[in-house]
Amino acid sequence: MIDTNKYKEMFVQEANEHINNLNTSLLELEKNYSQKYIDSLFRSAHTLKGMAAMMEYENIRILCKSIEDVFDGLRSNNITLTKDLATLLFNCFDLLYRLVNDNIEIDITPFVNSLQHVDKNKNIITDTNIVKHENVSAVKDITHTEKNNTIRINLQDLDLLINLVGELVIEKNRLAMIRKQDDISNIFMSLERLISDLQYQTMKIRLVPIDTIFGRFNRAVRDLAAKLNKDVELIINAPNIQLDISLLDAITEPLLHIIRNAIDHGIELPEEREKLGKPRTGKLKFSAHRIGDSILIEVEDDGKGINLKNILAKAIEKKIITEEEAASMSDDDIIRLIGTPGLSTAEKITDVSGRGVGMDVVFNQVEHVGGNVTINTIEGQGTKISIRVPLSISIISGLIIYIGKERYIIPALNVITTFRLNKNDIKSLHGKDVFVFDKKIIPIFDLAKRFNIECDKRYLVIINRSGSILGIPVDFYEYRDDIVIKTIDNNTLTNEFRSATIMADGNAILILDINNL
Amino acid sequence: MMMQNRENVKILIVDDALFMRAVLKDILVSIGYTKLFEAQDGLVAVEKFKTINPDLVTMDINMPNMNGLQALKAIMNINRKAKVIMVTSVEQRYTVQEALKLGAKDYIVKPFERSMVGMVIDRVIRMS
Repeated sequence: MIDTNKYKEMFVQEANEHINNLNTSLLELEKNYSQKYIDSLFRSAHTLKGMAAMMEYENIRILCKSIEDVFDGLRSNNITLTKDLATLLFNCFDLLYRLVNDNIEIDITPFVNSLQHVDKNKNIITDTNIVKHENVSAVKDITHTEKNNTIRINLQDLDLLINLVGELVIEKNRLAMIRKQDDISNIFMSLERLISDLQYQTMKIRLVPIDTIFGRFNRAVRDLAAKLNKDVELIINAPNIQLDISLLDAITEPLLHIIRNAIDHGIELPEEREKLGKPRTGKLKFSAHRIGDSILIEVEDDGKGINLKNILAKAIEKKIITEEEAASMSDDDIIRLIGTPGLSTAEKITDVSGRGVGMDVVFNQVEHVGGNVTINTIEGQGTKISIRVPLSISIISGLIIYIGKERYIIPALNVITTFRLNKNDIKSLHGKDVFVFDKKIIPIFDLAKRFNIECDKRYLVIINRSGSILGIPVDFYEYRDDIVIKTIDNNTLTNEFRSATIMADGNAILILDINNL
Repeated sequence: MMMQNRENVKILIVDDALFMRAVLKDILVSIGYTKLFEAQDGLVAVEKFKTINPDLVTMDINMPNMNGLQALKAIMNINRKAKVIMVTSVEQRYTVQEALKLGAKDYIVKPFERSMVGMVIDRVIRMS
């Protein structure tokens, strides 16, 4: 027939777009019964069926045919959409996803049988929320609009391009060193503008809208709330936010974990909430905003909050801290314990979020891509988890710090502020160096001592390390917004560094991995 | 009757699936048709039909914005002699009949084979 190998990649990509549309459209249909969504669902199932037939993927073709028949039944009012039917369909979409992506043989017979036995008699209207109305405000036809605005590009090719631009930036910086001669200064100016445009445009190619993962969030909330008999409304506010595709991949699982946690451990059962004077339906707010060259993502629930006493007791029990240490801990310190490996406060391990994966994994994964996590919680009122990640993973802004003759880079995301240090500004408290600012005691992290370098300590760079504030004394610092990150073979580096950059003078500078200090 | 050279024949491929367009395009190229154009829905198809004035259109049925039948009607209104071939799946017999009544010249059924596509297209191109 046709050379299926040649089309496999294209098939998988387009099939996934349709599976995504099936999921989002069915979620919408459940909330807002409209012909528009049924048409879109039918079309995706139908198109996918035709594609599978061309590829001779019989399982996918047969499953799609059965799904298509159900939508045809919905369209002609021979079938009614019940919660059970929606769950069955969602399960079939998951199965489709596996068939398309995992390349394995799965027995689809039980699913096909169930789909074929959906008929009018077995699906009597029980859900009064299902009301017909056609004038649902202009809904974007996802399958259509995105296709025209999206380009497909091989990631390897793209990374090569980004590397080249990186080299170009380095060359430009070398040129900057000799630009004092007047005649080249004009050329330099236009070159600089050109390169910065090129850099921006190239980076932009890697950006994808954060919306692409919302389908999974909606599904997770729907499935989990149904399973735990909780009422949860997910409110998403992320206007036009785009993220580097690798970053988005890296934070999707952590975000799902946070969402599952919020529903499982945060939001109370409807009866409980009523007794507490809260609305029966719990609110889960997801927001994403751009702040400078980073993205701030917040997940906030109005559930029971985190019981700090429990955390403390657990941490003592698990010997993560001693009772003496516990006595002097502030609320912020206790909250930070949540990110410690091995601390799970859920009273019993549920099969929802208690999979041996705790918040420590969330912290780890976010920090691994250069981001950080902060938790705010008020008992009885709810919890807000904020994740801040850089916009790009290849070019960042940061401080070049000078310690003696050595230079290092601290990513801007970790920097809070800087101070000019006077003599005696650094004090000793219980034998530890501290800096007092705004009535807060900031511990000093002496990099110079750590690396055995002489340092005059003229400035103090205040950084945020996984939520805790530290001061690093330096001789001098300068801000740069065009630091090209070069990853370095991990074996050759110590924990404190994961990457480096090459400076105008051709020398390499190591980038401090603040979270691993 | 003289057969038109395949390389001079303009064909507009209408399908919302990029995958389907790619498969059909490759088949057409492999049998000598090289002047190929694409449209991803009925609306675009009608617009492109006006500007390109193709010798033949292959038309998918289920598409967003404007489906294949509506696009067929619009195209037949622009040019009564337009040659449109419907691309359908097995169970769309009823729709195919309607399309033939509206002026479609023939149809191919998904999953299609190269020999079948070639045969149908050659036959329709030869029609006066």
